[in-house]
Amino acid sequence: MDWSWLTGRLSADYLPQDPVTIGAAVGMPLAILAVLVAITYFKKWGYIWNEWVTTLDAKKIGIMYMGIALLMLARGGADALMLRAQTALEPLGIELFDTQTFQEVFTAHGSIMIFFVAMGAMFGLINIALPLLLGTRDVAYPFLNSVSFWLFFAGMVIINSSLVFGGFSNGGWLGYPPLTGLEYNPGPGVDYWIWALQISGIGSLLSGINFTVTILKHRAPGMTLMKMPIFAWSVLVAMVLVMLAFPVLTATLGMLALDRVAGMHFFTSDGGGNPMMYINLIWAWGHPEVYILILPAFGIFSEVVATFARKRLFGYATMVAALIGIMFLSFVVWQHHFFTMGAGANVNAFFGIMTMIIAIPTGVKLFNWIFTMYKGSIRFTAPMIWFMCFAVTFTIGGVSGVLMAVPALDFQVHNTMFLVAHFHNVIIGGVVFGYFAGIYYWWPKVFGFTLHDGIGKLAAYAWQVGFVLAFIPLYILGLMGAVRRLDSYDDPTWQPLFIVSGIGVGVIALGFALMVIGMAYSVWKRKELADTTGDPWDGRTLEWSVPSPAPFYNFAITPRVSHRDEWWERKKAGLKVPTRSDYKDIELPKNSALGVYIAVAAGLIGIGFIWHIWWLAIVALIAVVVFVIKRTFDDDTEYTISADTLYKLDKEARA
Amino acid sequence: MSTQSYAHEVRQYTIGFIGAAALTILAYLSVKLEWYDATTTAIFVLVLAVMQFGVQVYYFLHLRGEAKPRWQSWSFVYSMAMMLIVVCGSLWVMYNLNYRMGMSGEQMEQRMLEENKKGF
Repeated sequence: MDWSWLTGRLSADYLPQDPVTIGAAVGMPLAILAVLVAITYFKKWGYIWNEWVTTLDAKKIGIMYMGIALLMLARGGADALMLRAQTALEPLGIELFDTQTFQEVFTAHGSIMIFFVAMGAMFGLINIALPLLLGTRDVAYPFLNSVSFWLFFAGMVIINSSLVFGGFSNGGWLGYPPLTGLEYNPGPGVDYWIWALQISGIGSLLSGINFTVTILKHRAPGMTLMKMPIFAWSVLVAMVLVMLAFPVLTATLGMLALDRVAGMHFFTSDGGGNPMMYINLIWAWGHPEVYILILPAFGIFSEVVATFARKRLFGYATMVAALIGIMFLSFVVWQHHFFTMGAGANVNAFFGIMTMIIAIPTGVKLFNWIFTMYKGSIRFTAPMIWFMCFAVTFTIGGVSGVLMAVPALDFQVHNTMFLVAHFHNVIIGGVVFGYFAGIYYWWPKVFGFTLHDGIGKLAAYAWQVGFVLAFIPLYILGLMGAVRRLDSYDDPTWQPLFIVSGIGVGVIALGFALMVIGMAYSVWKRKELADTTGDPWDGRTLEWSVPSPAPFYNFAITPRVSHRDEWWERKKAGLKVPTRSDYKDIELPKNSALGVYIAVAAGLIGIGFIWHIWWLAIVALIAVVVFVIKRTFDDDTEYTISADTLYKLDKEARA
Repeated sequence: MSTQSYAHEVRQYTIGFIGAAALTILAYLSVKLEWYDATTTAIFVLVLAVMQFGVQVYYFLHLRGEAKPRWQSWSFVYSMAMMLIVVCGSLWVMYNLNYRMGMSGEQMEQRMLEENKKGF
């Protein structure tokens, strides 16, 4: 009897072989086991299941997103440290990894940083802040929100478990075929990568729909589109891009998966396929994706700058126009990622010019922030320091981007360290600094105490200094011709620059450590740092009108909006104490475990495809359908809080 | 929902269904019974597909008479525009790439000789 159908291609051959991977493969499960034992020991399973796992509260889902994102930042950052340690030490004869492992490490670094750090932190901050900024109790589809998060979680588990069993993909963060095709990569690494991205990508798409509907349909009464905070505008545009771009990713990865498991030939040259088509399609998603990540960061900075300059945002309408301009332009620049693939001058010139044009709306925003600060009474708190670092770093990155938009110049620096320096310049300087500013800005609203400002500033300075040390040498190396993604370079004169870059990554790691230390210290000193007013920054928008930490119902009384900076105007006009008759019964979503079940089943579909365990994939697929149907027939999904209870709760929260 | 508007709905859906079905059957028959030669058939089927698209959007997606601010209509127009950009752009890029990268060595040499004769 042949039992191989039961376990697919699982075999002991796929266990890790080299010492570094074995160390991680043993350490990671042990760490998880320790956490599980601790939870059991302290009898916290009920609390975790009822308060977190099954919750449909957007703020709690947001906190979980942020937790995963920070954890993955540590993992991706460790990868970065290993990469730069290798290139700094390799000329001295200290070989940390073989070439295969090095490839796996840079693939892991890129994939995890984009899909599980940046995307996770973005959805986390949106979940935390968006409903509060819009003056609403929840997102449009709370259950879908839970499904999105757990799909993201399932993708995270899959991509990390590849380290333990089967090896990571070595195809780079975008997995270009033919390298990721069956012929050159028969193992499960690429399949892990595909299915982790597919599953979390579906989650992102669902989130995109959810937040778009929330913004269009769930704003507080009186809040017209042009009275929304800019953060909401930036999220709206980013989510529209998510809805249009992510199906392209899903379809492209789907075709690559069909090439790998069903013997098809979309992207293999033999059999009539074309690998260039993959590169074209993945960037038709990939370029909007970078704007998906950066736009919410721009939105955060708009709130931060206006708050800490104590002035209304300069050029609100131009800000909106710039966002909408990017919504169109971000779809007509993707070919600039492969100028050198062989397209003609007409194609390259068109996409090059479009790339230069898209710099204009971005520049408009930067000037708007600077004019907002002009003649404001600025407080240099930690979020503001992140903004200052961003304004400088991102501008340098943007300018190097416009430089590379010239196809003739791109032929010189394509696929070199110059490019690596450029996109880290905009992603660290823009996306990461933006989300960190958001963490420091909204932390008191979530947890009820501010983060220690001094340590926060130190962390920002460390990141900034580390960034300069780590990436300016890469610009120089790139101009000299250092190709990216190599574990060894022939020219010994480059080594000093690689050593500086390695030190820079160390300083960035110090910055991250300072952030974590600052968080731990603030938790310890939470009594002294407590935010009793609910409005620690003298804020302008509605989230600061509710007590800190924000109650689970967000707003006891649905706010009525008549200004852009509603809370600021109300404070100026004098606040009224609500009376008992202002309170109405409210309905809130009940917890549901089905989101977790759907995600577990979706993860098992992925495992089935990765290891060719077809029965598992089929059973899990049926399970997903059954769970979704079960949810659609569930009418009892909400519970009511009476006006009396709400009045009492609100009074306690404000006391 | 009032009885009248309900009847209206049913009529609309029925028209939509019959229209969609008729267009599908027509496409099938034109291929099966070989009404035209190959090129004409392809064009005919494409025209039917576009009409099919119109029927689906009009009768099933209700993109008409929507109250302001017409989110569905706008998002539809925007999605169409972006889809056209991505599809047409990809075709343009890929034809260009295939033309320039799909040549054999001799063809490329021949072409470069011709281009060089033209001068700059």
